[in-house]
Amino acid sequence: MVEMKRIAPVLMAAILLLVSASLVSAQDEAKYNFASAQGNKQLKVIPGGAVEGVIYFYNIEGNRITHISLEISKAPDDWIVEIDPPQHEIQVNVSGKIVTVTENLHVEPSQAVAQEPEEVPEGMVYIKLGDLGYALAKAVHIVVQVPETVEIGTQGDILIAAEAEWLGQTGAAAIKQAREFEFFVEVTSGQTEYTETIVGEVEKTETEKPGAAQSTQPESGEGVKPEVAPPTPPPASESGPVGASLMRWLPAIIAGVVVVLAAILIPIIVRRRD
Amino acid sequence: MKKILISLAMVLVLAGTMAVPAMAVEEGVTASVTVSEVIDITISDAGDNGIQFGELDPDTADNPDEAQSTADDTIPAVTVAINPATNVNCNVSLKGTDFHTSIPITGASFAEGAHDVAKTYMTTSYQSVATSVAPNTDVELWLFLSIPSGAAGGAHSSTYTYQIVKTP
Repeated sequence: MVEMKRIAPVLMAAILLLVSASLVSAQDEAKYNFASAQGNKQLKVIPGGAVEGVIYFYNIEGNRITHISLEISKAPDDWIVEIDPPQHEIQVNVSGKIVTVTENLHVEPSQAVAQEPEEVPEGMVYIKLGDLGYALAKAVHIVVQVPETVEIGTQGDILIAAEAEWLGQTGAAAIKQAREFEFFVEVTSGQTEYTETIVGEVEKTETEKPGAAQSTQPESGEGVKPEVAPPTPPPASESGPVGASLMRWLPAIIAGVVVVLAAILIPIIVRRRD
Repeated sequence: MKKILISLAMVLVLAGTMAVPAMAVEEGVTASVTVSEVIDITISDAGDNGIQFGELDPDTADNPDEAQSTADDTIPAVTVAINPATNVNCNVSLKGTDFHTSIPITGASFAEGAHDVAKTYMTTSYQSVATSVAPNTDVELWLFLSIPSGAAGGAHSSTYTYQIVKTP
């Protein structure tokens, strides 16, 4: 027992030493984190208008500042695409040495929090990351402006190339990360009020009329796409519009019959009893 | 007469209760939702000094990163962690720049998953490392570098760019 008492402090000291050593090595190991959350990729814009896509960047798994630069790698010719914040130069003190970095933004390491804090640092937002909680993030806005002359229904793909780098790397091969963000922009009329007008019936050719011989497959690879989908038989559970309507009104019909029968029978029964 | 009226009223109430659901107007509303696409990647290297191949002699092939394990699969040179916040499967690719005009990136290679599997030689274009990697998974890489016979002396460096995108 006395032996144990003597050994215990030595063991405790050894454990503490091991724990602190592992903490130091954990601090030393560089973790280069590049994390993004892209919101809605499908954007709609009216001719001559502008629309905005958003990408959030955060850094909850890394222990180095992530410097991110973005550029437009694909966009329709006459469309104007801008990245906010734009690319700019900053000076960074890396272990006592001043380095100039070209970037759109940088994201400092932070930790996820379980509840969304009420106070948010300027220029930042908290984004929800499932069970991990909330991460402090910076937003990049992709502003897409389309010309007045663009036709309604036109679709344009915007591709943003992002590159993340970390300063102070001492190895023979510096590590970078790259990622692409795609946005699909559709030009619409901008009309929010719903309207629907029947233009007319589609005229069928002789071969398309009922009774005429039909082939289910186009004759060649250049087959014409049908403008109207061929009618499909209703599922087994449904019995057509008439049947469905009848089923819907059945309780009301039964109720009507009950009322009529009651109006006839109740007075008769009551009179007989009296 | 009073009994008749009470009975009729009860029947009417019952009938009304049956008929009301049929008279209700059914409306269908389209519901849609957009979930943000999250890609959260952390790259870490085995040593605390970056990727180091050390002092190498010309005309030597497949020299390993100094910090990685060479006899077993315990320590990869680089670990690409697809962090749990990621909500899509990812494709991982790698490209590099020449260390020097006399030490092209084509002399650099990587082995994925184990130290002794077939190596993929790098180029200045992206080479596939792993495809459809699920969230919360690590991609482990062992790195090597060959030095040609006519390589210029001195310290040379490269940049390895890891591209991680959503699996189409």
